[in-house]
Amino acid sequence: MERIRSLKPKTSGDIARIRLEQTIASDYLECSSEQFQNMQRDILEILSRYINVKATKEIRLNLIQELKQGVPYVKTIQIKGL
Amino acid sequence: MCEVIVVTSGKGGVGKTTSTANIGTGLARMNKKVVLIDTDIGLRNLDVVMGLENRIIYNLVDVVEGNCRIRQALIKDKRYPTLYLLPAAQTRDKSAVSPEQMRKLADDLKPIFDYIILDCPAGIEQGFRNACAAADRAIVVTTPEVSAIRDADRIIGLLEADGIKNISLIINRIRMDMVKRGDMMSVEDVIDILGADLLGAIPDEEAIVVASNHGEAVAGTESVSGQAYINICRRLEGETVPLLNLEHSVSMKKRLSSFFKKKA
Repeated sequence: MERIRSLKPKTSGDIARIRLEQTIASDYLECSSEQFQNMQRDILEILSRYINVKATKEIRLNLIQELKQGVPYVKTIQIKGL
Repeated sequence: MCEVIVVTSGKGGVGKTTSTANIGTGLARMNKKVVLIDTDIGLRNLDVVMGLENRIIYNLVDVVEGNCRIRQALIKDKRYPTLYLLPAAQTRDKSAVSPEQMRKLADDLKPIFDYIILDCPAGIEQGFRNACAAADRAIVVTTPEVSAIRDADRIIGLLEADGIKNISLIINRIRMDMVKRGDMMSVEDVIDILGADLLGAIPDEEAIVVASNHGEAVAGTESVSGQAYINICRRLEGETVPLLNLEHSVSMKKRLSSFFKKKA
């Protein structure tokens, strides 16, 4: 399934979405977009040692920060499945 | 019960002022008493978009500094008896007004109006702070572009940190033909990324440019964007209105225009 999807050429809309997700995530983490991509790759690599990543469609990472007013703010970062 | 709404976006040129004018007009058409406040001091535009530029005598800074009474500065739109504009000053800058003064101004206007709509300047500096200070809810305008959505995401974060809980999204300049081809992010993509409630989606239409050339609003006209703005107003009023089918409208329009092109 993954292979079929990757064979299909990405439209400019898909590319915009991927770039946007990465930019917002790297803004959030205050790291460069390259560092963020490396992090995504590293996390996937570590996970793949323990679980079947190939069979997993989506992996999300929730960063929960506490705001000053005490409201927990959750930012979800997509590791796989974009 | 008066609601104070700030219309903001972060990025410039996405349609804040146009949306403010159209939402104001739409609500006035529904017989709501509405005042639109241009908070973009130094770069005012709402007056021109609404076609009221020749009637300005006093402005927001005059009111705040006590040079005139609020009533003297409010411009009544003759086309809609319940619609008023409070223009910004053109020869001053954002520092002429403080967040406290904006809060007081809103409190003074609350007993008179059903809606106070603040047109926010682009950016996240003092102009944005001033506009947000008085607001109960926020409408974030964005377009389906990477830069505009990134800024919208930042703005939503800042609004939440400011304690504004009711934040909804207008996605402007959607072109369904491009979305269909995969060359534009869809409404669903944008909502998905921003994680905010959708207030409405506005198609990219010539009618909006033509109307603003004339200093008029499209809200309430036959155009799809006009319908979309009316739907937004009804949602603000608490009605549940299904999303307009932009796809049908655009393809219909396309069909018509290609038909006429052939004839010519």
